[in-house]
Amino acid sequence: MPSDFRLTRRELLKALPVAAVLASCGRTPPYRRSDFDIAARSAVGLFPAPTYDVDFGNVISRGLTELGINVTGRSVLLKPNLVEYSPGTVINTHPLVVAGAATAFLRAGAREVVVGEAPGHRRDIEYLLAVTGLSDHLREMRIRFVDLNHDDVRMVALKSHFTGLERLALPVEVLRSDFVVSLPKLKTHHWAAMTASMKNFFGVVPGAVYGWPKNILHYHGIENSILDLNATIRPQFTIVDAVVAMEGDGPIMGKPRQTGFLAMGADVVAVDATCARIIGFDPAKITYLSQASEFLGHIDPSRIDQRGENPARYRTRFDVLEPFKSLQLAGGG
Amino acid sequence: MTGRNADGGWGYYKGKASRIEPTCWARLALGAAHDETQVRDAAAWLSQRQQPSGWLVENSEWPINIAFNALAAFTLLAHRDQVAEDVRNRLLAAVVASKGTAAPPSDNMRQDNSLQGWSWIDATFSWVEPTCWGLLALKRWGQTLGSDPGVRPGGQTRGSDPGVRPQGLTPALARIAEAERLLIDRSCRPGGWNFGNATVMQQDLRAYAPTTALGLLAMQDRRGEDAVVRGLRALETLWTEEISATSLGLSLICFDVYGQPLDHLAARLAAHAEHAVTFGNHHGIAVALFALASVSQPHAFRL
Repeated sequence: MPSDFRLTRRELLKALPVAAVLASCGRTPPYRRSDFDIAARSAVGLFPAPTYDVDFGNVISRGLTELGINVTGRSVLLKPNLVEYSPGTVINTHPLVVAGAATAFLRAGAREVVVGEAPGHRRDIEYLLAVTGLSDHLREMRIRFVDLNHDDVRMVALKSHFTGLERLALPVEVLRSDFVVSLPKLKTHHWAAMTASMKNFFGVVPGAVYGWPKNILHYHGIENSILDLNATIRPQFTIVDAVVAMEGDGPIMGKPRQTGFLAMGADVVAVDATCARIIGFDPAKITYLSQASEFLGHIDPSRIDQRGENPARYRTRFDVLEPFKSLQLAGGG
Repeated sequence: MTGRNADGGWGYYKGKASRIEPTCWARLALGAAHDETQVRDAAAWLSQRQQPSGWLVENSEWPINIAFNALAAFTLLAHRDQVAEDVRNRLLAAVVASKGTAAPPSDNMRQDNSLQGWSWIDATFSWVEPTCWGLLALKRWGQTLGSDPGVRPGGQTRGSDPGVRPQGLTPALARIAEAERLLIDRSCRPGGWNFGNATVMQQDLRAYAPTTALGLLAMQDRRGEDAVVRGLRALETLWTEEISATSLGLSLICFDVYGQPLDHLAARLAAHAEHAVTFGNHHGIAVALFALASVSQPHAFRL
């Protein structure tokens, strides 16, 4: 199956293994309920960042404090979204947001902060780090970068089986980190509708094992793969770069859209659901968010405690591709 | 050499487990630097990975990486004295037999999804880099056999009597022909190749320098093809924008093979060498080393 290959729902189901089909029919969930203990309520923080000129170390420190995050003595892995480079576009997590997160976690007492990424199309990470400016920031801050595409790997038993896969090779650096932080860019996605904290974990699957693109994830279903990766990695926190987001034909060819905030929280499902509502999607209609709400986190706003700014301040309606218009909230979001 | 593991192979970075790709590139690079005695173990490490199926396996629990097996076949053909012929032939047979899957046509892409080159792992679609390595390995094999005058690189026979072709060559010729069609089909509109989709949702995607250089190396005996002409033109710009050891190194090898002016590119790569060593990716370092040591010399990529 080609990358970004669009199938109809019927075609997709035909291509899925039996376990995934059963899961989508709701008969037997492809995970053990006892493995997933979700808090009754989740907190999501929205913090203003009208431009990339703000002090992200301060903004993120405020978020960690208000959300009660304790990383004292822990090793923190920051997983930004570093995909592709094209001048004037907003494809990647801004390097200043990554640097700000590193500053904030070190300030909060983290034993070590490392940044790791495994781009799915461009395997030349030396080039990507340089051209995006991220390498300059990391060098200045003496933050170690881990090339997750080429790291040592270990086969891991997946904690859910929406894909039908039992195991997947994952980078050792991700597995041994005490505290994994998703650090995505908020974008529309021409296959998954929206990409933020959860979809970002495609970027831990090692290309040197599975290739570029990571076609095995397409074959087993993008949404299924999102669920299995998040169920297995269980990221402890997310910081979404929604200062300037991407609308339209994301995640690469879309247009910049100024949104002016960072979204943070320990429940990646709740943070993504909040972002979805802000840009005009109904999270209950985005399949992977809807399925994640059954075992990984909350999408129901009545179970989400808002910190920082009121979401209404940022609410808008993103331009989305035709097939995703049916996923939008009625009445302009 | 300081990055070499005790088992004779190389990982992607110092201290990481030995892997097929960096070990192959280290073997190619250090061979070019005439450092044969120190790197014989690399070929041994590669051949020790072989399973009864013919494939080299990094870890029995992982999927077989078909692209890097084709790179290994190419490497072992370039250093034939260091590995048993049986090891090489079984590996080549596995490469010849392996095909990426076909997919139905899609309105969102202008590519022909029925064409089958090589995939990264079994039972997935064909992509540019594995297809380039498959082509390079089989063309190199054809060249090796081509000391027999009935065969020439590029997969065509001069003799035209299939009965005298070496065993396994006929299916290899068919694979070469289809893989070349795939690369022509997947070339980006302005020229060059990326990972393997030239368009998605009716939008043209950008070509990358490393995959463009690899595509051109794989198609070096098809210089009249429009995709090759456009690719070469595209690479002249791409390498100036994508500064890394891999990008500059592969571009230099490519321009050397195509007889293009090299001075500016070679100087840029030499200036980048220290950065590449600091960055520490053994694959990139070995590509750069091979390129700098091999230009204007006979070398493995010159078919």
